Amino acid sequence: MDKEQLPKLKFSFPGDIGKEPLVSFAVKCDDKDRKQLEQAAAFRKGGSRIGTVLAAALCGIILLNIIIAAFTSGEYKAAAAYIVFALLLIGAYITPKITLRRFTSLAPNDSPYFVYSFYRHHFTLISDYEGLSLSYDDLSGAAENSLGFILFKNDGAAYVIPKKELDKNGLKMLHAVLENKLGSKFDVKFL
Amino acid sequence: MENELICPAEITADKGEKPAYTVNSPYDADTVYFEKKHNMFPTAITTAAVSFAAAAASAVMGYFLITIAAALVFVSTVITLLTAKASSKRVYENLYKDETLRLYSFYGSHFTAESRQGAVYIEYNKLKKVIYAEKYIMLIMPSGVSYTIAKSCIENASFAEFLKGKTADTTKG
Repeated sequence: MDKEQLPKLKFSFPGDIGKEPLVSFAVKCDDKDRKQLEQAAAFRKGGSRIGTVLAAALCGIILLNIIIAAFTSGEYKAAAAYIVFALLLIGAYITPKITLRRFTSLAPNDSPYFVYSFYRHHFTLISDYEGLSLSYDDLSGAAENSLGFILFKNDGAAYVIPKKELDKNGLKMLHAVLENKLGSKFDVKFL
Repeated sequence: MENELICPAEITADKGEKPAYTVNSPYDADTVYFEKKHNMFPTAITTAAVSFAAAAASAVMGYFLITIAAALVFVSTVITLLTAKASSKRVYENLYKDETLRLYSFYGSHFTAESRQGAVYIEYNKLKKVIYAEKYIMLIMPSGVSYTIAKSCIENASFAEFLKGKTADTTKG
């Protein structure tokens, strides 16, 4: 997203005037990107979702077999008990997502733009409704996958930066900054 | 110095406009506990009730493997509920200790909140819900982000009426 296309920003950072950021860019975040953010936040690191889904599917097939076997052998009480057990497992599986939707400050959902500037000791984010200046210590981690970057704040908030919005140089610089500032807290996974 | 708020962001969209109300609200362990209670307790209590019922029913039917699994869910949920206050204190100590104050300013069409990390600018019609609890007022966004104001910090008695008037059309609280 070109910075020229941006509306008048609602926030500024007087302390950063005159400072040259290491990398600065503006991105859009559509529904698909937000979905990716939600999934990545729910499973904490981008890329681990496939394993979780496969494990859940396997567990579901085994339980289904047990329930069918119980039914066909006339053990209806056992079948009912295993159905309750399956419901509990489904609950455990979807709880993180529900909890995250309710509890996590999933970032500024309907903002049409996000302007990031990464400096040596901190970075800033301006969206339609928030202007934040964060130290790298305020991040609990970051993840990179083939679609984008996700920044996880210590308080549970998560921000997604879709790669399609960045040019080659921006991508390289952002990767280098996160690697350098976050070290082992920066997780790179390509599917 | 503890109560001095240094917000790194300047809200340029507010230039020239004077807020109708301002509230300096502390962000402390009690506030974190209130937010946690509101967000987590309904789900946790339902989980505890369902798992207890599942454990009891499976024990009566003699399926002890399921009893053990359901009992584990029940016990862990109850422990989570019982330790919520202590864990809120830990969350506060670890994450928000430097952030002791939030300054809220309420304008005709929007409100702003300033903290150590920056500022937010939110129009009233973007709010999903406003909760008026005994000690706090909680402003909740559709994304789940919430802003909690301690009622004890509200100096002007007409503030609650003002807020109710501004958010009546858009909130379900």
